[in-house]
This record gives sequence, C-alpha cells and structure tokens, in this order.
Amino acid sequence: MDLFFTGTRDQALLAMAVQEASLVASTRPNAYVGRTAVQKILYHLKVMGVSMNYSFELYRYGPFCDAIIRDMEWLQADSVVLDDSKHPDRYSAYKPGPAVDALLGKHGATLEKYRQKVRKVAAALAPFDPKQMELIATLDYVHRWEAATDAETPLRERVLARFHKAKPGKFDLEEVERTYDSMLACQLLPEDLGGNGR
Amino acid sequence: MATNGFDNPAWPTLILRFGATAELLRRRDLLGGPIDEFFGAGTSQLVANLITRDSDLVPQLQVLRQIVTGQIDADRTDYLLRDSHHCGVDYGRFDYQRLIESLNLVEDELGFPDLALERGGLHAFEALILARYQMNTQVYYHRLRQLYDHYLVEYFKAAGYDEPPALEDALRQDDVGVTAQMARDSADLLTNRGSWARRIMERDHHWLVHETGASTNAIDLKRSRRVLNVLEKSFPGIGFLHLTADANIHKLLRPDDASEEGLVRFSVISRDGTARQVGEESQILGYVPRKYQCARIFADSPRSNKAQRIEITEQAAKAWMEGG
Repeated sequence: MDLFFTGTRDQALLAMAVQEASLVASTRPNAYVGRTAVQKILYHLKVMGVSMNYSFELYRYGPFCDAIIRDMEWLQADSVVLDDSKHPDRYSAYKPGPAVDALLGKHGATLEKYRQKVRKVAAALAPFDPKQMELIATLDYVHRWEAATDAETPLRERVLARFHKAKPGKFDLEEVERTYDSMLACQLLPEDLGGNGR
Repeated sequence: MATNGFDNPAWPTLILRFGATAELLRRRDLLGGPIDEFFGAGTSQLVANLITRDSDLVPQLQVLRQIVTGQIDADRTDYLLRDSHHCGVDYGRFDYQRLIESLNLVEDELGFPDLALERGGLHAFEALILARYQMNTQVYYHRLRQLYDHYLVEYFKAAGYDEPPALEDALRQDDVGVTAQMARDSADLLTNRGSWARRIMERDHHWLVHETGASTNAIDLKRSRRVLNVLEKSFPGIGFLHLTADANIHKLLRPDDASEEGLVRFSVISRDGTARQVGEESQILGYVPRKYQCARIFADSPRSNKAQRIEITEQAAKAWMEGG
C-alpha cells in the first residue's frame, strides 16, 4: 500500500507503539489501546532515551503532546492504524491497519532496534487504568513542586499531605503511599530540584 | 552542506523546528552572556527552559510558561496583531490592553498558582480566540499562502538546503538577499530550482480545484486522497498538488467534554471572587473549533484555459460527492 500522508520516522514509531500495545491488549479482557495509552507509551519511550521529535508538555494530569494527536489522524488516513471504537468522539480503540508494514518497512533499519523497548513499555503500562494513571501523574507533579520548595517538614510528608488535601477521598490512603514509595524506589522521581526539605 | 551565496533563509521555520531560540538564549557568545550579566547568573538558562517544552521546569515556574506558550500567551497576542497590521487585514484585532489588565492568578485544585482572567476581560479573551481562528483560516492557511509556502520549501530543497544551517549562518540571511537570489535563479529554466523560483517570481501558481471542510478528519482525508486519484486518472497530462492545512486554535476545556486529556482549564474570576471555567462562562467559545484542518487539491492548469479548470473542478466535486 502506498503512503500518502505519512512517512516520518516518528509516525513509524507511533505505529509500532500501536502494534505492540494492541498485542498486549489482545491478551487482556476488555482492554483496548486508547489515546491516553499512546501518549503515555511514547512519553515513557522518550524518557528511556528513544530518539523522537515529539515533545511533551507536562500537564497536571500527565504529559501530553499535540503532534501525536495530529499524527494519529494522518496514520488513520493512510490506513496504517485503524480506530475500532464504537464512539470515536468519546474514546479511541486503535489497532494496526493494512498499511502498517509499509510504513514500518520504510524505517526498519533505524526502528527495529527499539521494538523490545516498545514492547516492554506497552506491557508495563497495560495494567494501569485511567484512574491509576491520574494518581501517578499527580504524584509526580506534586513531588516536583515540593522538591523545589524550602521547608522543614520531610518531603514525603509534604507530598502526601498536599495530595490528600487536593483530592480528598478520591484515592485510598494506602494505595497513594504505596504508589509514591514505588515511584521513589524505581527512581522515577527527580531528587534534587533546589529545595532543602529532603 | 552546499553553500552558494546564501544558506537556508527560512530561518523562522528552523527556529520553531530545531529549538534555535533556546540555543540563542543559552549560548554565552550570543544572548546568554548579556542576559546573565544584566539579570543575574543562570537567568538565560531559566528563560531557555521556559520556552523548551521538554525541559525539566519546576512546577512553581509553570505559570510563567503559560505566559510564554499558553492559551493566552504574549507571543501569540503579539504576532496576531502584528501580522494583521502588516497583511492589511482587519482580522486579528482585539483589545490586548484590556486583556493584559484582566490577567490574575488563582489557586488550582492542587493549591498551585494558575493564570486566570478577571470577568471584565472575557470579551477581550473571546476576541483573541476568534482572531486566532480568523487569522489561521484567512491568512496563515489561505490557499495561496499555503501554495507559495510549498513552492518556497521545494525551492530550498532543490537548492540543496534539506538540513538546518548553523545558527550563525541562518542569522546572516535576510529577505532582500533571498529575494535577489531567487530572481537570479528564476532565469534558469532548465533546473528544478529555477522552475520553483520562476513560479514564485512570476506568480504562476496552481489552481484550487477542491477543498474539504475546515474540520477534516481521517475519513475526509482518505476521501480527498481518492478524489486526487480520480483526477490524476481523468487528466493524465495535468500535474496535481495535494496539500493539508493543520492548526490548533485553542485547547480550552468545555462543559460537554468527555475527557480533560490534552485540554486546558482556564478560569474566569467573578466579582465575588469565585472562579469558574471559561468554557462555562463564555457563550462564544463553545462555537469556535479547537483546530482547523483541511485538505486541498490544486491543478497545474494554465491560466488561459478556463474551460479546463472548470472541468477539473466539476469532476472533483462529483468525485467527492461519490465518496472519492
């Protein structure tokens, strides 16, 4: 199949992310590859050093890149990706289309080396539902704020206190603490942002 | 990289694409040195981080980034007014002084500061968003401007400027030098580069034969592509161009949005001090599309052959109605 609207390496990476994520989704009941999942996979790939031109704005509910939305539209126009959603205005359910190999083939040499990483990230993010994604993104944001603040109280206490004040009752206390501690243990959070509260 | 009198003069595009502004700010031998000297050590790095989306900016400074690259940023406020003035159009005008005076801060749900608008500035803000819509549809993505952008890019490619030049080289270019080079090149009818230059210098452009609506989705894009295929088969001697326009107008959250992802909460402060989302307060913003996206087909049909142009346009309309 000939490609008309697409052809860049970034678009091919996006297509590979959809391909791998939909493989993971096919093994889980009622799972689908939505817009949020695509954004998060690409963001984590970038953090892990996969080179791309997408740049992410750090919103309070997580990183977001406009160009990915636009490229998903182009990928669908070329049938590289299909949207299986019954209500596309509310959510998307992406899967690879008939032209996916044509696009991936164009960038095979430079892109295939990332496939294992893409697979790993897609599998790692698959168990998280949108609410858990929100919890992670908010903890990350609050941590960054408090880590850049001068204060006597220990950082962990401040982060958890601010989180619970902002979202009272929305998340289970233990779940929030467990998630925050896991993020610290996995070194997903920056340590030194200029504050002195650690 | 080839050099033949000028390096890539499309440097505003390169700045957007390659983060050259941040490099200008960071480099001590360019703007970095003077800025740090005047405002204090580290300021140039901080400002560069503000304009670089991927930079690790602490949340305390995110509110400053909203002023630089947000929904109401100073950059767009400035260029809409300037572009409208220099293009001689009335679109793009709004009461920017009222808008700036109406800016304030509120606490968001996490207790962090967020840029907001006093109720009295709502109409000025609506006018800004409308100005963005009108300037994008009537000026930035006007069919002729889009065509000449394409010619310019092809001209530079033909001249061997596929890669961005060094920052110093880009800064040495100006409109006068580039236009003079293009005038010289346009005399050379045997090369690709000369033919693109000639199109620009002699205003010999393609003819619009079909365009989709202003909110094209993937289905319409496919349909437009099929129309192109039909035209190419029906008029084998004619060259066609298929160009797409794509611009973000705003990202404001509206009450009927199913998800907040990728959208921005922007508050309006009432006289009693309470803050509500601008999407709830404004009667107009609900009708302004968030993005402008359209696909156009142009034909390289001679100006003198009006009958052929009409025939192609009618065939395109028919093919579109039949779903391409």
